[in-house]
Amino acid sequence: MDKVIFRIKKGTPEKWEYKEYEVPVENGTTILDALYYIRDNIDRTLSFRASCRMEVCGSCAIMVNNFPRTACSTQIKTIGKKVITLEPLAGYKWIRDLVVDFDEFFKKHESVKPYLVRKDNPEGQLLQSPEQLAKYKQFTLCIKCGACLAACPVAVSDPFYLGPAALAAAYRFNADSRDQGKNLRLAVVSDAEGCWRCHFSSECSEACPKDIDPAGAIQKLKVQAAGYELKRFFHLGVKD
Amino acid sequence: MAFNESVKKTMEPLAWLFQMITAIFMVFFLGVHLIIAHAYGINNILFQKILERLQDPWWQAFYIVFIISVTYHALNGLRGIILDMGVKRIRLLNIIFWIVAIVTIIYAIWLLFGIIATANPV
Amino acid sequence: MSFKDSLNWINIKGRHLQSGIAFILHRLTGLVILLYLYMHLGALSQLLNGGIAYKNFLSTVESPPFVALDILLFLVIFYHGANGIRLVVQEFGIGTRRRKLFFWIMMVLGLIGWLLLTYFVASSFIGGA
Repeated sequence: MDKVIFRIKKGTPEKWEYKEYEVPVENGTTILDALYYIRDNIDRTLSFRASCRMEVCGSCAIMVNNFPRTACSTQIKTIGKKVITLEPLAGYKWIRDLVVDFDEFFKKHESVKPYLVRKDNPEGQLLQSPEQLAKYKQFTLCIKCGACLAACPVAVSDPFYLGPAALAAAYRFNADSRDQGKNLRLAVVSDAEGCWRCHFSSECSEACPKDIDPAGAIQKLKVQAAGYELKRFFHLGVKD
Repeated sequence: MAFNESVKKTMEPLAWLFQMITAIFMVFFLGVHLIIAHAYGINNILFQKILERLQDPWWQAFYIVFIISVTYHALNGLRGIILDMGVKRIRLLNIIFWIVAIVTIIYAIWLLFGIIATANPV
Repeated sequence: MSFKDSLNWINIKGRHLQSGIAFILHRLTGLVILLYLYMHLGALSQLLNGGIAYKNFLSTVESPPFVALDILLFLVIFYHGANGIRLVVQEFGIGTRRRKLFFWIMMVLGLIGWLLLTYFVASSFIGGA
């Protein structure tokens, strides 16, 4: 069996160091498998988040060789390195070992009103055709793992930036034919710290484990916001 | 927030649109400028040649639109870089941007007409 | 969040060529061009000093080291312009999934443009000067 060395940032912001652990790997061993192995056999104090083991819960995102990935779906043999460095997600408040504070992430997500907003109170079903669904379906697959924020060069240098996950969620609802709250969301995201902080570095789309293309969502959101602003500027009578 | 409240008043969408528009303008303007000034050796940038060119009102208009586009695009880009570093006083930054942009444009246009005037001394 | 954190956007570790690295280069080339803009406006004020002063200035800046710097500046401008055209198209939501392809197409076009300009500059410089 092959062995791979894991260099893990261990400790707290006050006192930390890189500790090395040797882990036996074979085809199919994931980073999460390695983390459980280390915790169960070598170092019982290793802290990390994990739950579903199958890339749906979004708990286990960490920096693997300086790039954010979900530990459960990253196979060690695919990385192909003898030494792998694991660190907590960049751009988040670090708590200890591989655990970061996700409060800000969720606050930003909540602020874009990530739910259907209606002016009326309709009876029965809200019908939607497959074509209408196709317009926003890919953006519904977000598992809120936070890898996109860790990859974004703006999010890691500007703490006020809403970030790709929140903005993609805003677009997901704006593009949903059943939603009537586009302008409410634009009020939040069309802001100096909202979608206008994005410059399409597109690292978020490189990092997304579900291949949602949040960068594409943000650009489409920009077009929506600019279109609204132009209509209002020329007094073309925007309806809510 | 009520349904009839409009999107927050911010210049950012228009700032972005102009960044894109000036970018496209400049592909054209800079293309012409680079070819005229550099692809013919120094023929087109001899003193007399420059003065001749600047007498033509189309060239004057060209240079004025060019300088406004470049100044806006470059300074808005710098403003974006600074905003990305997480500033709290965004309004102050915007005001500084406008001041520097307008001063630069006024200087450049003053320079342009100053050069034109050297050909027609009073 | 310290000032050092504000510079995290410059980090190249873990970034991809067609995404994060293209972004960093785009900004750095932009800053270079911004600096050059003000240098250029300052240099143009030489024209106010009349034909003789300008002729001296011209012979300085048309010497080989300056022309070499000019050609380097053109490379900076062509990178920024080529990547910029890609950004304008993609920031309107077009082709955001085909970043790598688009990036390399624009880089090739930009390189061709730069080589053409360099050829014209070099040939008229060697032939004429």
